Amino acid sequence: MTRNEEARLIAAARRGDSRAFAGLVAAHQQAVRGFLRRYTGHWADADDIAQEAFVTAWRKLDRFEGRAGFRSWVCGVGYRIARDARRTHQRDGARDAAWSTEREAAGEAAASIEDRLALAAAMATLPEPQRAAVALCLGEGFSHPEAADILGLPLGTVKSHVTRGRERLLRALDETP
Amino acid sequence: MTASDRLTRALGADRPPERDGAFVVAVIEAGEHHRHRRAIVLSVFRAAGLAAAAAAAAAWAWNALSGFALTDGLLLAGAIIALVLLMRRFAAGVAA
Repeated sequence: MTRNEEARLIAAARRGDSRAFAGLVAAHQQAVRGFLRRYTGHWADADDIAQEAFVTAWRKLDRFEGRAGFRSWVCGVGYRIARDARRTHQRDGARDAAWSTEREAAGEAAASIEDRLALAAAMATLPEPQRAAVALCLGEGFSHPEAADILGLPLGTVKSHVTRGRERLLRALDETP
Repeated sequence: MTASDRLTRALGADRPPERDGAFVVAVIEAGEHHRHRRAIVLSVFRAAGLAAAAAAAAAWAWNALSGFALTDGLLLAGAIIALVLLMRRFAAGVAA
């Protein structure tokens, strides 16, 4: 989605056009949900938080200044909800299982189970802001400045978090046969 | 495969689908529900405010009108009664 198209949809959504907002959600749901899944470690909770983040963003769309992109802004909203609510332990196993089945049916080329488990375990051991920085930059391809904006951290801190987090994840995978 | 490749693949393995209509619909429904609920709450507050204002105006009007009727009515009634009594006495005196 181009910047102009995004600005047009935001303007329409501000006027109450739900179709326009649906367009924004469709364009950015993968990045927001992907980040929150990596950050929380729980898909069901992450999707609930992502939904809440989008609804909050819709309600507060007037406050969106456009300094960062819409995707970064919603990720920031989701990050704060996830961090503050601490809902990461309320796992919904049924929905996770359903999602896994859906993925397998889709025939995605997945990494090995061992690597995925090792990654999940290693992500869980990362300190809170480091995990978020890794999830954003390595998991979803956000730039360091974008991640710094989302997390409200200095750019240098984010770079350091990503580098150290990556090293720890690589070590964890190295130890996995 | 290097550890870096494995990390990249593992990070990309659990991404949500690029297109997910169900999620979009869920967000829009939740948003509309929230807006609807907010509109209901606002309309209830608005109706309650209007009702309170109408009640206050009615009470003020009632008080003002009934106060006017009470005092003036009492004075008027007293004046009529006094006039009738005076005329009756006057008539009785004339008759006597």
